[in-house]
Amino acid sequence: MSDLFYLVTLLPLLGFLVNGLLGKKINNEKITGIIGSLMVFIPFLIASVTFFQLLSFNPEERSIFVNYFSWITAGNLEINYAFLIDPLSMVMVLVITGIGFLIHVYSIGYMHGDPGFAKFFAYLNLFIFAMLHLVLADNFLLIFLGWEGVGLCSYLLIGFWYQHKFTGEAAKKAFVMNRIGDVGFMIAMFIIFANFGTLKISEFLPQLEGYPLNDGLLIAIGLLFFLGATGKSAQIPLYTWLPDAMAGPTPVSALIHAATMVTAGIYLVARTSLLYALTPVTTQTIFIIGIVTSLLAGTIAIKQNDIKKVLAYSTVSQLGFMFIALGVFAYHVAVFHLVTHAFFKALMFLGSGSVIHGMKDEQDIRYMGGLKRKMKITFITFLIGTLAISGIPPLSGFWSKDEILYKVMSNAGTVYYIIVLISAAITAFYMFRLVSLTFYGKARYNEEKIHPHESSVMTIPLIILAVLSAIGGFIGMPHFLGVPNVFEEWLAPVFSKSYSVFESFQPSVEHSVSFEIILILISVIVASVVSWYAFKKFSKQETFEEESGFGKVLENKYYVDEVYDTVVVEPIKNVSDKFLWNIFDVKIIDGVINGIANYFSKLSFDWRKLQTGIVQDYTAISVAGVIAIILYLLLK
Amino acid sequence: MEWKLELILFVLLSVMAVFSAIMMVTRRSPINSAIFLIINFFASAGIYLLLQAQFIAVIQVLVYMGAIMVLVIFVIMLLNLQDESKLSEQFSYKKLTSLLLSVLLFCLLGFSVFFGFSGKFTSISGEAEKLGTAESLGKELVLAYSVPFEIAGLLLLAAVVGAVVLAKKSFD
Amino acid sequence: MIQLHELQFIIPLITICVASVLVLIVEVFSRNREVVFAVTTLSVFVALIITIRDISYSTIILNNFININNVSSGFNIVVLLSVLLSLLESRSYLIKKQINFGEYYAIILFSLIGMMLMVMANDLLIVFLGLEMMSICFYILAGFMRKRIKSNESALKYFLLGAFMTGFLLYGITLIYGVSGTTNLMVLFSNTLLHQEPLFLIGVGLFLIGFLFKIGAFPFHMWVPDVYDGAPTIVSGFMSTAGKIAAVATIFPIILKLNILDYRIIISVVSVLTMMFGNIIALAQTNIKRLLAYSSIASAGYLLVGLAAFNDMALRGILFYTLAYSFMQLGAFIVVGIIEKSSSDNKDFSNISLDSYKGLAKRNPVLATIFTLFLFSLAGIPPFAGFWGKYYLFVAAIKANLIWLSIVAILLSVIGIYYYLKVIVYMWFTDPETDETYIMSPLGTTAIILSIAGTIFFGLFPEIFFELIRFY
Repeated sequence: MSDLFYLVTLLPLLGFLVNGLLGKKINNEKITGIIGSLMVFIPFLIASVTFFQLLSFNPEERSIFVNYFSWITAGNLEINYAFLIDPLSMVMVLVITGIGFLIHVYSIGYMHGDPGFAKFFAYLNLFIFAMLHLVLADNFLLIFLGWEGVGLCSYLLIGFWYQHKFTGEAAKKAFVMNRIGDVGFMIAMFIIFANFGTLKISEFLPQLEGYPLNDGLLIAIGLLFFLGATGKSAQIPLYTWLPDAMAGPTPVSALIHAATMVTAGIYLVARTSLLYALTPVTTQTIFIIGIVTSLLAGTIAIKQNDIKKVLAYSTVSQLGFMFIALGVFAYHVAVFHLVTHAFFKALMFLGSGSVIHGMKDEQDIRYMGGLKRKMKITFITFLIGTLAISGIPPLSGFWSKDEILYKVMSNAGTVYYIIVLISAAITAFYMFRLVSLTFYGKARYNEEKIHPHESSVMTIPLIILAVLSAIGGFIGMPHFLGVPNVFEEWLAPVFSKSYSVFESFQPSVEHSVSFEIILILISVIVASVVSWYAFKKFSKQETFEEESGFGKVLENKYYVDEVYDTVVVEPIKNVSDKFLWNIFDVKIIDGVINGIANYFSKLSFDWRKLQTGIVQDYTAISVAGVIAIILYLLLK
Repeated sequence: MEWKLELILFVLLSVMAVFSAIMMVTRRSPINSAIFLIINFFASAGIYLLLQAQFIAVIQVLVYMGAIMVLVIFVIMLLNLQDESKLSEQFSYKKLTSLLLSVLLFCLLGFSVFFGFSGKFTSISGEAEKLGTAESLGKELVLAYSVPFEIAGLLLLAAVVGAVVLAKKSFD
Repeated sequence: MIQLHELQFIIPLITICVASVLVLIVEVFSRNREVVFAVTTLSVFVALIITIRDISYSTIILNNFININNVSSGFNIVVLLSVLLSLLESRSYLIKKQINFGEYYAIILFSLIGMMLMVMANDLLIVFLGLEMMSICFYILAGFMRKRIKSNESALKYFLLGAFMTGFLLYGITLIYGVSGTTNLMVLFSNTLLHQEPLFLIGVGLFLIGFLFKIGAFPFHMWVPDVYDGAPTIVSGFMSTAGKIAAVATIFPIILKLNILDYRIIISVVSVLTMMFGNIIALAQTNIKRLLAYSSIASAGYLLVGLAAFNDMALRGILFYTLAYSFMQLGAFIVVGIIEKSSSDNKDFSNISLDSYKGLAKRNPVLATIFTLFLFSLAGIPPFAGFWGKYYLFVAAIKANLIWLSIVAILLSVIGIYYYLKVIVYMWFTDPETDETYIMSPLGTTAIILSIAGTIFFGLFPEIFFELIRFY
C-alpha cells in the first residue's frame, strides 16, 4: 500500500512546479486548473485506498512507518525523510486532500480571469505539499519544515493581490505573528533534542512514559509547543493576524484559514497528546486560553459587518472550542470537531465567496440583504453550514460541539460547562445575524448596478460540502444512542496511552444516560432559542446606527490591535531606532566591521602584486614551496 | 677491474651529460644548443648501456638523436632563426633568488637521494641483464604492461590531434 | 593475465574511448558538427548511466592496474556529470566564438579518458599516464581560441608550468619505485614498514606536490587565475570542475589510504594558506573570470581541510563537496559564458569585468537570479549544496581534533562571502549601464537547469548522494 503513497506528497509538488514554472507558457486557465486540481485529487484517491487498507488491519497495527531516505546525518542527529501513516495522520490527510480538492475546483471559477491564475494554483499546490508534510512527518524537524512551508504559502496567498497596500500588510502581520509562535516551536525542538537525543516522535513519546506528572521539563516543552500552536491556530495572544488574513482570495480563506492550516496547532497537540496528558498544568493553560479565546472572538463577531471578518472571528472562536476539548483531555473530540468544522467552515467561506463574487466584490453585510431568492444554492448550503455550526441536530456541528460540552461537564465541572455553553450560544447568535442580514429582508444594494448570480463550478463544491456538513457528524455519535462511535474507535489506538495516563490521576465519572440526554436537550434548546431570537431580530433590520458603548468596543475588537501597538510595537520601534540603530549598529558594529573589511581589502591589493603574470616568478615561488615541504619532511 | 671501468665510464658520461645540459641552456645560437642536446642524449644513452638496458639505449640513439634531432635542426635551418637577443642581461635579485633556490633544491634532493639509497644497492644481477633485451622488453610490454601500453598509444593520439589543432593554418 | 570478462567492469571507459576515435573518424568524413556533438554527448551520458548502474562493482582488474570501487565510481559520476554539463553549454559558446571544430569534442573525450583512468588507477603508472592525458588536452583546450593572444598566453603558461611541475611528480614516482620496487598502489598501502622510510616520504611528498599544482593549492596556485582568465570561458569551467575534481579524486584517496600522519601538518598549512590567498586576493578582483578562479583556489583549500582530517568523515566530505562544487562552479562559469560578448575582434574577451554585471537583475532577471543562486551556494549559504559540502568537510576536521583548522576555515570562508555578495550587489542594486540582454540556447538552458536542480536538490537532501553511491 505504501508503494504508491509517496505520490501523495510528490504530486502536489509536481503541480506546483508545472504551474509555477510553465504556467505562463501554458496560459490556459482550464489546463492549469485541471492540473492543479488533479494533483490534489489523485492523492485523495490514494489516501482513500490507504485508508481502507488500514481499516482492514487490526486496530493496534494501523500505524505504518514509511522511511524514504535519510535526509541529514550529522553526528547524533539523524533526520530521516519518513512518514508515519496512522489513524490520526490519515484523518488529516483525507481532510486536506478532500477539502483541498473541492476548493481547487471552486477556485477555477472564483479566480477566473485573474492575471495570476497559474501562480495562484501553484501556491495552492505548494500549500497542500507543505501541509501534508506537517501531518505526515514522524520527525519534529520535518514537521517544522511543513509548518514553515504552510506559513510561507499563507503569507504568499494573503498577499496574493499585492497591488493593494492592506493585503501586503495583512500578509506581513500573519508572517510576523506566526514567527513569534515558531520561536516557541524551535526552542521546544532544541530542548527535546538536548534532553532526549532524538527528534523522532516515535522515539520521543515512548521515552516520556517513565516521567512523573507535571515534570518541569515536560511542562516547558508543552508550553513552548503550545506557543507555536497559538500562533498557527490563532489563539490568544497571537490571534489578531487571522481576521486580517481575510485580505487574501476567499478560496484561500476557506482552505488555509479555516479548514486546514489553522488546525495545525490542534494537530500538534493531539500528536503529542501523551506529553499533555502527563502535564495537567499545561493542559489547564490550554483550557483557559481556549475558553477565553472562544468567548472573546465570539463576542467580537457579533458586531462585525464584513462577511468574511465574521467568519474569521467565528473560526478563531471554533478553534478555541477545539482547544477547550484538548484542555479537558478529550483529544479525539478535538479532532472530531476539527473535521466537522473543516466541512462547515469551508462551506461557509466558499458560500461567502460566492456571495462576494455575485455582489461584485461587496463584502459589507449592511449592503446586502434579500439574496435568498437570487442565489438559491448558495443560500441553502450556507444555511446548512450555519445550522451545523450553531449546533442544531442532527447536523455535524451538533455532534462535535455537544461532545465537547459533555466532556467539559464531566472533566472540568458545571461552572465551566455554563461558560462554554454561553460561548456556543454566542456562536449561534452571530451566525444567524450573518445569515439574516445577508439573505433575508430587503435588498439594501443598488439593484440596477448589481445582479447577484451564481456559477456552476462554484456551486458544485458547495453542494458536496453541504452534504458533508449535514451528515458528517454521524461518524461520531455518542454511545448512549446505541450506535458505535466509529470516529472514537478509529482514533483510539493513537490516544490510548494518553487516556490511560489521564485516567490514572482522574478516574472517569460515569454519568447516567438520562443525564446525558438532559445535557443535550439543554444545548439544543439554548441553540434553537438563540438562533430564533437572532433571526427575528436581524431579518427585518434595515437601518444601521452608529455603535456606542460596549457595542463600539466590540466593533473595534476590544482595541487589541491598538493595545499591541502601544505596548509592544512602539517601544520596540523606539529602542531599535534610537539606540540599536543609531548607536549600537552604526557606531559600534559598523565601525568594527568596516574596519575589518578595509583591512582585508588593503591586504588584498597588496597580495595581488604577487600575481605578476610572469611564468619565471611563478616557477620560483613553486620551487620555494617544494623546498619548504621537502625540508619539513627531512627535518621533522 | 670491470667495476672500476664502469665507474670511470659513469663519471665520464655523467659529467658529459651535466656539462652539455648547462651548455645547451646557456648558448645563444639555436644550432649550438641543438648540438649540445645531441651530446646530452648521447651521454644518457651511454648511462642506459651501463645499466644493462641495451634496448632503451639503442632506441634513445635512434629515435631521439636520429629522428627528433634531425627534425629539430631542419626546423631551425628552415626557419632561419636568429640568435636569441639580449632580453635582460643585467644582474637582478630575481635571478639571484632563482639561482639560490635551484641550488638549494638540488642539494636537498641530492642529499636525500644519496643518503637514502646509500648501501642499499647491490651490483647488477643477471636477471637485469636479460631484461634489457628487446625480446624480454617486448614480452613485458605486451603481456604484463599491455594496459599502460595501450593508454600511452591513446595519449600519443591525443597529443597528435592537439598539435594539429594548434598548428593547422585554418579550419574548414 | 587479462581476462575478456574483465572488460565488463570498464564499459563506461570503453564507451568513451570508442566515441573519441569515432568522433575523429566522423570529423574526417562529414563537416556536420551536430553529429560529432551528438556522439560526444551521448557517449558521456551513456557512460554516466552505466557508471551509476554499476555502482556496486568492487574489484581490481586488468593486471592489477585498475581498481573499481564505489568511491572511484562515485568520483567518476561527478566527473562525468561535470563533463556532460560543460558539453551541453559548449556548443552554443563555440558557435558564438566561431571555433566550433570537431576536434574540440575529441579532445574533451580524450581528457575524460585521462580523468577516468586516473580516478580508477591502481598503479602509479596509470596515474601518471592519465594525468598526462588530461593535462595535454587541457593545454590544447586552453589555447583553443588560436587567434586570441590571451588564449595563447594562457595555453603556453599552463604548458610551461604544467610540464615543470610534472617533473616533480615523476621524480616522486621514481623515488617511490626506487625505495619499494613497485608502483602498485595496493602494495604501497599495505607495506607499513615502507611508510617510515624518509625517502619514501619525500617521494610521496613530491607526488603530492604534482597534484597540489593541478588542484591549484598554494604556493602552486599561481597559474590558476591567468589560465582561467585566458582560456575560453566554458573551458575554464570545465578545467576548474572536471579537471580539478579528477585530480582531487586521484590523490586524496591515495593520501588517505597511506594514512601517514606526517603529512597532516603540510596539508593543514597548505590548506590555510590556500584559503587565505584564494579568498583575500579575490576581494580585489574586477574580472569575473579571475574572481571565479580565486574562488576555485579557495575551494581547493576547503577540500584540503577535509583531507587533513585523515578520518572516515574526510572522504565523505570530499565526495560531497566535489559534487556540489561541480554544479555551482560550472553553473557560474556557464552564466559567465552566456554574458560574454560574441565579439569578433580577437584581442580580448569582453563583458567579463564586474561592470558588465551592473543592473543585470533589471535587464535579465532570470539570469541574475540563477547566478545569484550559484554564488550563494559557492558562498556556502544554506540550503544550497555548497553549504553541506563545507559543512561535511569542516565537521571531518573537527572530528579529527583539528578545531583550530576548522575555525580558521570558517573565518576565511566568511571573508569569501564578501566578494560573492559584491557580484550580487552589482547585479541587483546598481543601475544598468547598458541595455544588453543575453540569449540562452536551449541546451545551455538545460545545463543551467540541471546545475540549479543539483545545487538545490542536494542542498535539501544531501544524504541521497551517499545512498546513490552506496557510501555510508
